[in-house]
Amino acid sequence: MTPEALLELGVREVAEGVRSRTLRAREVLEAYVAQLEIEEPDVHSFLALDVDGARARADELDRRVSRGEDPGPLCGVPVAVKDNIVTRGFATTAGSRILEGWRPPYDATVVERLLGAGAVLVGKTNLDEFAMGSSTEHSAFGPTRNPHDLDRVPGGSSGGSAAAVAARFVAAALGSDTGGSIRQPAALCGVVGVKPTYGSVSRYGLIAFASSLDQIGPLAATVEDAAVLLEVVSGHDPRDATSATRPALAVCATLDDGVRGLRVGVVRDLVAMATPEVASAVDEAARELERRGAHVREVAVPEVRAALAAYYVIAPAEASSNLARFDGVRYGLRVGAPTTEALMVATRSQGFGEEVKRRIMLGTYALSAGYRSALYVQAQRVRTWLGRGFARAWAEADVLLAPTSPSSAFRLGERSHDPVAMYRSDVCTVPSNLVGEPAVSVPWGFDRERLPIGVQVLAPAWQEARMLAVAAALEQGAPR
Amino acid sequence: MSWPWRERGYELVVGLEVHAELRTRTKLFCGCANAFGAAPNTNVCPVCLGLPGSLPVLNARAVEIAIDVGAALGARVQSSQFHRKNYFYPDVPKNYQISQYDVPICAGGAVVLESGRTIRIERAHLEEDTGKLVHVGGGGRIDSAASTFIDYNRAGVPLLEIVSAPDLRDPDEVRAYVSELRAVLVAVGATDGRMEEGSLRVDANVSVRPYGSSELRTRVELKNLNSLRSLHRAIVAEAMRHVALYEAGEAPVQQTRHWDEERGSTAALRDKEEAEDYRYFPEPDLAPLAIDPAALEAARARVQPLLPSTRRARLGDAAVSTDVRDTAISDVLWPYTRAALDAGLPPTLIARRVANEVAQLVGTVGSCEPERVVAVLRLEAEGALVPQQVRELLREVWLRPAPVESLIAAVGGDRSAAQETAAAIAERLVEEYPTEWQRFVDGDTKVAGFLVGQLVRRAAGSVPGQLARATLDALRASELSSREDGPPRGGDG
Amino acid sequence: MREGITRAEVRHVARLARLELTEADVERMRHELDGVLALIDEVRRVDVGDLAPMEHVASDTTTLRPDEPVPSLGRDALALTGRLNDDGLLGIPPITELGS
Repeated sequence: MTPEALLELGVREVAEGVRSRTLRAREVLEAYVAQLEIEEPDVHSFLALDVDGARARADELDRRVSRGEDPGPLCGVPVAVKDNIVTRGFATTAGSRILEGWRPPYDATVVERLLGAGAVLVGKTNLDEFAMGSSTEHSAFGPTRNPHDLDRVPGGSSGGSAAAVAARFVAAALGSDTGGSIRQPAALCGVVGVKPTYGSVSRYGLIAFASSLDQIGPLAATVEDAAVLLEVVSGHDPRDATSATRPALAVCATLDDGVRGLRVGVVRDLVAMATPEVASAVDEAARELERRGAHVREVAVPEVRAALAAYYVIAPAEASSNLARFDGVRYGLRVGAPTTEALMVATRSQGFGEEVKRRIMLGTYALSAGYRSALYVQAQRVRTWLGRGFARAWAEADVLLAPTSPSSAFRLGERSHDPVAMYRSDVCTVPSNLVGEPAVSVPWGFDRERLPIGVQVLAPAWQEARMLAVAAALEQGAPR
Repeated sequence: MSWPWRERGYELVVGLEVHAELRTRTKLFCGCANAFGAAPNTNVCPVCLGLPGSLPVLNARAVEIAIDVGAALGARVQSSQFHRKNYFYPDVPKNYQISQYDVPICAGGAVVLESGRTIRIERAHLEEDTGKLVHVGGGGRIDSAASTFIDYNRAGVPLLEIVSAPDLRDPDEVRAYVSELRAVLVAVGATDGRMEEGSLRVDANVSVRPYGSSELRTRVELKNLNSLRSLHRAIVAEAMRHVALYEAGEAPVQQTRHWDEERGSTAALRDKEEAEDYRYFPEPDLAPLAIDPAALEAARARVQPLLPSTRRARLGDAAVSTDVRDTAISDVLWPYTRAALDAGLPPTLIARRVANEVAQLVGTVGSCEPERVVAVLRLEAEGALVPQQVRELLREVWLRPAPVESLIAAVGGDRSAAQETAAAIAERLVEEYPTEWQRFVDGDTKVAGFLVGQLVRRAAGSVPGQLARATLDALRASELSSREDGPPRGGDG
Repeated sequence: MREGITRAEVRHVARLARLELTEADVERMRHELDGVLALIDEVRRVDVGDLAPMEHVASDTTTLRPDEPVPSLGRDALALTGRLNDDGLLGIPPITELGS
């Protein structure tokens, strides 16, 4: 098989090929590495690569298969992991200077599960520092560029994972989604990105940004590829007390179930926030579902208009606490000073980037005496209110349709000095995080500048199977 | 006792925050061993070190213990929520402590002192302990140390913080409260209660007010109280500092002060503007902790018989000191006390033997089958053994596995031998003290004590008092009967 | 009407967060935060009645862990930093929290 043909294979086809010895893991890996060696210098999707380690791993998998072993459903699939997910003995920075040089002494649960299923880990992908951003420009180690247009951002914060999949440096990748950080870069890079139900994928080993919102999920070229990864990484983990005591998600078997008879609601309140081109993409997608037998109607969820405000209280508040541990005492950067107090202040002031400091300041303010009830507690009330809004919508619809990002990929530097403009990029994605429900971004054609557009399918908690079946239908009908 | 502030017209108001390290096998949120004295930084993992990506998972046993304590204190045991208490300090690995805030696991309850006073409990909540700072140089003092080191072995050890209402009125009452609360905690197996190892730590909220007033004035929180002695001294010193301030027309400020044992005074931690802003918010990594009503009912049934008050009541009116009573009902000794009480033996005798000989043997040798102890105490109660023999026999019982009956001879407690000795001595007494003997035979009970005492003393511990009396009584009886049978002795017929 | 954040508040919050800001930083931060606070002011404007705050999205009750020891990572967890002394203690500069 030619390298080009190998890069066209889906995750399931690669794994089945390697398991049945019609393909070798090493040969698959080399096809991806060749692609990576050519384009990665321009894209900069990785913070750390371990090609030698990946080669050794691929050879080992080939040997195991030839011995009659079955390494699992991701056997020989080259993958990447966002660099806020810890990997034992392998540098993990979360895109921050403050963790430069730190080698975690343990693996995240999702990394254990990927490796346990036979995946080949190629490297750690770039992100906005501590996942705080929507463009990957806030990485302390330089931005990632969009493979569709190197002058554009890949979105963020999982921009490295999205770009690496879009450029075929890896077959699939993991990202984390706190307010859209998987779905928005997936949309901007033209790949599929899934934010699963809160509690479905273990957060053990995910460097926390906002603990009540963070979820790990897959980015992949196709809905099926994403579904295969999701089945591998989901399921109860006793090391995460917020991990639901449920078995792994079962989503692959029902991908081709179609949408006949499903009630699809278009969230006009979110469509209204998008550019005309993105808005019409959502409408086209709705019509495609209708053609395939779904009942499409508009559903009003006016509560989503307050979601962005609630999100930018809650996420920074939790972040201000989660990031307190980075103080130079135990690990990572330590800036010397005559007293421990001064050491902490100096380390944090030099180790954190501007966006991270801004969010720590904002979150500290929102939790501080005098503002806690007006901001933090009130934002949590808005969150309850938003949950009621979605509950009402789920009485009328089985899935909801919305834009993923209000616009296609913007230019590097366009919003990086205007925090509020950047924050508005998350307006369509934060509602799902606030209520803990799943959502997927699936590519829907391109705009006039040949930049990818993504549409978002939202579903009630634990309805990933239904959600991904809808996404698969959209994928089949999407303009090329 | 008159306290110095009382003489100056003030009354002391104290509330205590007692931190008990719970006796679990593992830490509160991870599987690291909860053990005292391990080499520095060996009982640590990503979770208790707060490494990036790690997450807390609550220890089920710590919850059970908190429920037991709540049941023992008569508290409302309720569904609760963990919060993050945010503050930067190098012994707090995450720079926040996972604690409980507005919804603690236990609310209300009380401790009843032996004096009969009821001290209200406001709350008891679960939280994680901090690491330990070691100050080197500068005499080991925090404020002058040349360098500081951290050992995180203690970080994450489960604590139950028990907060009393400001109901304590003098330092003796403070001590009585700590002792009683400690006894309750130890009795239900919550903690080993060792203040010297830091497994029971006490902070005191101290204020004073004009005697007779019911106001609550500005309080100061005292920390670093490492023993009952420093607790007592610190409260006295702080109360007098308040009195002096009020007398000078000033007032104390609400703050945390550190007790300096050497200097015998308290010192304020440097005032920090943010000191009080802990920015509490619900711990997103831990959903609410539910309480199973059935488990709570079971806990109530389980702890009731373990409580010091229940045990004390079983010892009834034993004529012993408070110390002896408290020792006899302590956790390790209670099995012996209970078995002896169940056997119907006298409480006073049980309390004395358990608190002394049994306590010593348990402490030095180890535990023993309680029924064997009961057998020995029964012999003593029946008057078959003298105290010295009881002590020796208990020792034999601990050291040798043989049945108790077969060990009696080894301590000279053989009844027939003792009876022979007693009879022989009695015969001699009759000859040596004819006048006293005659009075005894004629029914003068006052002289009986003298004769019994003589017999016991001459037997050098081999004849118990009761046997001595029984021997003398038997001799008297036989003399009386021989008088009736034989020729009259006197000549007045 | 929303009140803006003051420079004094910015300095106070920076102190709470253990961040050092130059005077220029304070003004820039004040300006940026003011913009964000205008965005999030929406949470104060919406009328959500007496709804309770949502604190957890997923589970109603936390899962518990059996009280069974697992091997500790021990000093390996820290040793990679090279900050432990020969006794295995982590060294830090003096703490100056006590006043006179």
